[in-house]
Amino acid sequence: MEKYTEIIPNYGKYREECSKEPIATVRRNDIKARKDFEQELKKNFEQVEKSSWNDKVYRLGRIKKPGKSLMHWRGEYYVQEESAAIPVTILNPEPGDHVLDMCSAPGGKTTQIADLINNNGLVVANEVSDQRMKSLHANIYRTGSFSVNALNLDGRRIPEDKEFDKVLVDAPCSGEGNNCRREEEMATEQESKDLANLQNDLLEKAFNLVKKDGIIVYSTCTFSPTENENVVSKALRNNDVSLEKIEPEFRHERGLSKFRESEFGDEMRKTIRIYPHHLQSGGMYVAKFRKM
Amino acid sequence: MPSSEKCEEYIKERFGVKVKGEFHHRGDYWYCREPEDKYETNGIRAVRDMDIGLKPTTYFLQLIENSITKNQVKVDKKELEILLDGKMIQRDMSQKGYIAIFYESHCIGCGFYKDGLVSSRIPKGRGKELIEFMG
Repeated sequence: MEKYTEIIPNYGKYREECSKEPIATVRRNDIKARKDFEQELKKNFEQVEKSSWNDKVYRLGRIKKPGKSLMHWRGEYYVQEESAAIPVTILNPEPGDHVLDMCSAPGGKTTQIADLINNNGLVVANEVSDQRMKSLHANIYRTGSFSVNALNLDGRRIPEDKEFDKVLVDAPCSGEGNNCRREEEMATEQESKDLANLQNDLLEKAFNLVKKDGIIVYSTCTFSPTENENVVSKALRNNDVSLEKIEPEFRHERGLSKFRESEFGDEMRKTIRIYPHHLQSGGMYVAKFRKM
Repeated sequence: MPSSEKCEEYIKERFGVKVKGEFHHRGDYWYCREPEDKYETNGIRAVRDMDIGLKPTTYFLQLIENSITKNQVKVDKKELEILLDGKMIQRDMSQKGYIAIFYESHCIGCGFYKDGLVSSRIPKGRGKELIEFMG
């Protein structure tokens, strides 16, 4: 854990947040939610507070089972960490868009995209794991996300017979953003290096699958610079893409231009890092590319 | 390949809902935006195409709940518990076939009516989840 003291400002607050249960948050799914959603939610939970930056996200306090309600069963909301709602918000899918979610199970971000395009357009949700396809399908059905077509492929092998307006690469990662709450070890450098190879391959594939001027959002839920700025700076060097500056309304830190002996460049300041104490949620890293 | 008209007609006739041009037949009828077979699934499974006829899915009925005008069965908490327990409740309806079960103005899912009795066709696992938090 101490490995990141030099890059996490307010380290004391970070440690304090990691010692607590996260704030339970849910995301309203307007495909299914009714007009009296907020009122109904308040009947189910004592504490209901809207997120300051996303009017579909509600904070329910540090409760344990936010999914135990008829509203959830019917798909009126999705239980999702507040920070996990960030990558799709930055991707900004709009009605009519064709969007690819390359690593999609269990479907939180996929169903968020379907909701934002109001099922008007296409979401291709890819997932490599047969086992995790089950949870993906269950969530697509429960939320009524009929604009979603599912694929069960290694993301690196998605056929390049279709171009998308937007692609989300919410990459497999070492998950350090939540490991701190579980008091699990941070990833070893070798684990992060192995993951970075896969992450780079997925990102390169995403560039091939997006149309010119299209948007690619890369996200992980880890702190490791090897899996974040290192991957993004390499992708930036080797491809015809540019980085767009992310300017969110919530608390965050800028991406790192360097870490110890590794130089990533000032462009990485356009990317963002969210630590658990920023939103009382999980950790997250997000970069936004545009294909040239 | 069966046309989507057959499915559209069934939904209109049975539930009074006009859904146009969104069904894709692939074993069953799928409600989707892009009907290409290269995908593992297209949208959501809407209507099962069985030897004995068509059967709407619980998920699809939930999706079109606001438009359903025919063959609704409204139930109270006790009746819903009976249905989810695999038992039947009494109703008097004109025609046998699949119905939409409504609880507290929400469509909960699919049921079946025959000879004065209604039974649940909500998937067992989903029904079990519902019972758990109904208390």
